[in-house]
Amino acid sequence: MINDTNIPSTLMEVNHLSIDYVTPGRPPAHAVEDVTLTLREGEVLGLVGESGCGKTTLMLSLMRLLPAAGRIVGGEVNFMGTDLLNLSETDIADVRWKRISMIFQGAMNALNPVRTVGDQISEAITQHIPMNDKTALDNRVGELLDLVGIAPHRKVEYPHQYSGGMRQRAMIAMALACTPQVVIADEPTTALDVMIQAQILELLQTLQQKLGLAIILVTHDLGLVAEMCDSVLVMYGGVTAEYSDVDTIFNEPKHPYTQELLKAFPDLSNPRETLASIPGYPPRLDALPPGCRFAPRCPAVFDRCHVEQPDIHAVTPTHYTSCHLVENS
Amino acid sequence: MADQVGATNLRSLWRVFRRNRMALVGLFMLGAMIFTAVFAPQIAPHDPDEVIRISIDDIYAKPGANHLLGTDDAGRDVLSNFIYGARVSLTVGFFAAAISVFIGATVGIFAGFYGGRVENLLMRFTDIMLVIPDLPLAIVLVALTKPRLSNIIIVIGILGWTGTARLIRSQTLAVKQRKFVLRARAIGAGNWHIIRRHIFPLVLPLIVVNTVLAISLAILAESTLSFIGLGDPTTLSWGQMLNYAFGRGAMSSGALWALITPGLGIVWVVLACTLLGQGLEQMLNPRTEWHHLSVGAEMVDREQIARHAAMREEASLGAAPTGSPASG
Amino acid sequence: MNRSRVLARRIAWALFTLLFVVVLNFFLFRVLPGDPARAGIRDPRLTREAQEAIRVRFGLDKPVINCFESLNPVKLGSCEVNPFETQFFIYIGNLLKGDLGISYHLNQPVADILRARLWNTVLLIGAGQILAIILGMGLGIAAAWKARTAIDYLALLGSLMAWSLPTFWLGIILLFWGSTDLGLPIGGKLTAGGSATNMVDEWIDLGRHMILPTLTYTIVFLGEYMLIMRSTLLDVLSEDYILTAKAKGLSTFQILKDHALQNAMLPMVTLIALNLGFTVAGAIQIESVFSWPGLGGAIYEAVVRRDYPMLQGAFLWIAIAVIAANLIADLLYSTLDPRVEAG
Repeated sequence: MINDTNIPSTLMEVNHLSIDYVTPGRPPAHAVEDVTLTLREGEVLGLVGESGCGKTTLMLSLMRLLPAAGRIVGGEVNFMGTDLLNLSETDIADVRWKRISMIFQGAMNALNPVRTVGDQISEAITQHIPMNDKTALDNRVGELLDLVGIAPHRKVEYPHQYSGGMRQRAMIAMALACTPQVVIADEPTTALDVMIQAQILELLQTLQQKLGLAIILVTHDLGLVAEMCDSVLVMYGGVTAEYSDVDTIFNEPKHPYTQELLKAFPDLSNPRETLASIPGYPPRLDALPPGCRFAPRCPAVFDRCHVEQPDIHAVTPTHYTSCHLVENS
Repeated sequence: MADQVGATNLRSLWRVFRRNRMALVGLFMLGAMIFTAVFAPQIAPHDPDEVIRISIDDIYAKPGANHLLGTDDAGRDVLSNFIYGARVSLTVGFFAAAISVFIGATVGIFAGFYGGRVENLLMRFTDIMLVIPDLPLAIVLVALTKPRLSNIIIVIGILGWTGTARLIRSQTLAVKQRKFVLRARAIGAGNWHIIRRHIFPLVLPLIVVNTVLAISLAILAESTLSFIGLGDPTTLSWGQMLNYAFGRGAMSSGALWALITPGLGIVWVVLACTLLGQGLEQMLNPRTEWHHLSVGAEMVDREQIARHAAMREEASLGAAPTGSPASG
Repeated sequence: MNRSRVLARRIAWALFTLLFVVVLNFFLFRVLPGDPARAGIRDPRLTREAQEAIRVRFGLDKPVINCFESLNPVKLGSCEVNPFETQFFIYIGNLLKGDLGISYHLNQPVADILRARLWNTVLLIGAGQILAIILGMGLGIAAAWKARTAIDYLALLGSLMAWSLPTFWLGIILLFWGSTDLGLPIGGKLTAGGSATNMVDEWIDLGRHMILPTLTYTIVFLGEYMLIMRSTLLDVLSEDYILTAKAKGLSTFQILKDHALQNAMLPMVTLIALNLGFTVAGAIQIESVFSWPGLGGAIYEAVVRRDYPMLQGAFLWIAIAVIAANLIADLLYSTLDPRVEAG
């Protein structure tokens, strides 16, 4: 706090964001509720939680890409001084990919099977940067492929001619095409085998450092978080369970859910310790429990948890958690 | 016990069915026409064979009190012919569909289940039959045999099975890989047993859907054959009513009733089967019909956002976190 | 497997199908009870000699096929019949020469009659198909894009209705309406005893004759194409790469044009090809109603006049046309889809 100029400036502030899924004739499902987070330049934020906890919904909403049933019902998404939620449809289309791009889960289906990889990358470029020079465009595509370790001459090939790892590399090249400020990586390695996973993550890490990217890494792999991330937001059932820097989350977790997650995570220094798993299932978003959403599975549950939803409390100015235990102490 | 399970299954089936408006309307339309066909003698105002050739005025007589839908080229009551015609068209539809679905399902199940050479042979043959145009071949076959109703049914039946065979085969291939089928095979259950007890029940819904759609195709085929002049001369189907009307001057007499009535019957039944079939298919493969370009209501609900903001203000949750952990 | 091997296999398969149809076409007309020798020449006014002369003329005096004993190795050659003088061999030989026999009714070579009529059918089917595909796909795209809105439901209902119409009946109704209220010609290709003196008048006359049959054709096939396009596009629009395209900042129009349509076209091409059989069925009905002098009309007239050589020839031509069109669609598919090479 002595030298303020060393603190990187804030890129994105998400404040109290809430998202519903609406089905006619049914009460809305609260997929995301009151999520607040900040992303600074060059920061890697890990977004952790079980499947169906609202991670992907939250990420899609940042680019306003929610499916037709999705409604943003509260909060704001401040990106470099403007609220993305107030932009017109054409203005948000300009932000997409140029400012915020996304690496999707399965690159197999995320690339169009009937167009060449190079063609799909140049499309991303020309959509946002006017380029009349065909050779300059070709060079840029080759450069991007080279950056992710694909021989530039393979740009004329179709996705089915690539291996799974190569497709994900091509996806990363495409995500970097317009030199965005923020890259959202939504479980970028799930469909790949372990060796390839490691390669892709290494690539992502190298590129992040080289280009000074801010990355939001959506994952349920805590090992990955420990290795790559600066800060971590743990989501449970659509709400923030805990949010802090990576050391605090791993060393002083306050929320029972974070604690259970860490227990389930293999400790490499002490491999004999048996892995714990959290009994029960995450709540269905259309049938949420009345109190704390984690209460049915929480080992430290007490009466209040079943009736009252906990607010988000600041343990320290940089450590937030939504648990009645924290308030009590 | 078994009956109870069956009853609850039927009831839950009906509950799903009731919610599908397409299937419901289709079933109602088909039911109404079956009712008409069954009770034709009670409903029809005239005997269909009754020929009233009193004077020239009775030929293509305009609709009136005695003949609600007018008369045809032989002075017969169009409405009564229409009602009796339902019997012929539905008979052809049901029997021909039964034949073609039986062949198609058998070929499909055997090809899918046995695989290898059996499959290769059966599907190659199916491919050939699929390419040969159905209607011209049906015309040739009926023209070369006697145009009896039974012949027409058989011809339509043995030509219309290819689509069913392909669908049933791919479904069988999928079912074959299911765990309980593999398990049954592992404990040494015979092929026939597996087909009867495990495969057939699972492809049955698809067979039902195909039968409903095959009925509509068969009725269309029968009416076309009859219109071309290959109908059974001893019966009067809707297609034949049209053949007579078109060939015997209904156009020049302006007898629109003799032309429109039988056609509407065909459209009614075919539409009924199509709606029912499409509805059933929707139940088998429910699709959300939402996609990435779906136009829903506005994604950003500004009203609610403002309301939430006001609520937060009121609760003065000033302590809500806005800082970043990374700054620490 | 490389592309040329795939190609060669497709062509070989089409040839095999063709052979099957040729053999089937022969045996159907010889084996089924409606034998032309009995059905065609039953006229009691003819003398025995005259009947015999006709039988010789149409080659019906020869044995249908070489007797099977000649295939028996023990009695090899014991059969009196020269295999090259059987009807089957003569039929194959004539086919290779392009000879389809002589029409009972018109007393002209069937091949000549059909050749003159082929282009009329191509003209009618072509015009109708192009219109139906364009309109049907347009409606299908609109319905899929606006899925679950009033536009979608209306298009769906309309298509199901159109699909349920018997082609010939729609033709009759349109003919009735068009000829009485619009003063359009009641059938044929050109006005008989053509008063047209110059090309332009003749083209206008042809156009007026084509309006109603083409309209019938379009309505009947429009619904089907719309339904196919709608459901294919619904599948494509649910794919992940559409979301990628949207995330890239592309507009809805760009996504439809550059990403969705090419993918949706692949199943469309296959289905249009599979539909060719129905296309022909449509042509037979429409040409019958509108007395259009095409191949379909030839089948209708052959049935009405019991003109078996004509029926046989028309069936063969139509089958060959459908097989060829299928092959073309197959080849087109492999150029549209880059993945074919891999499979």
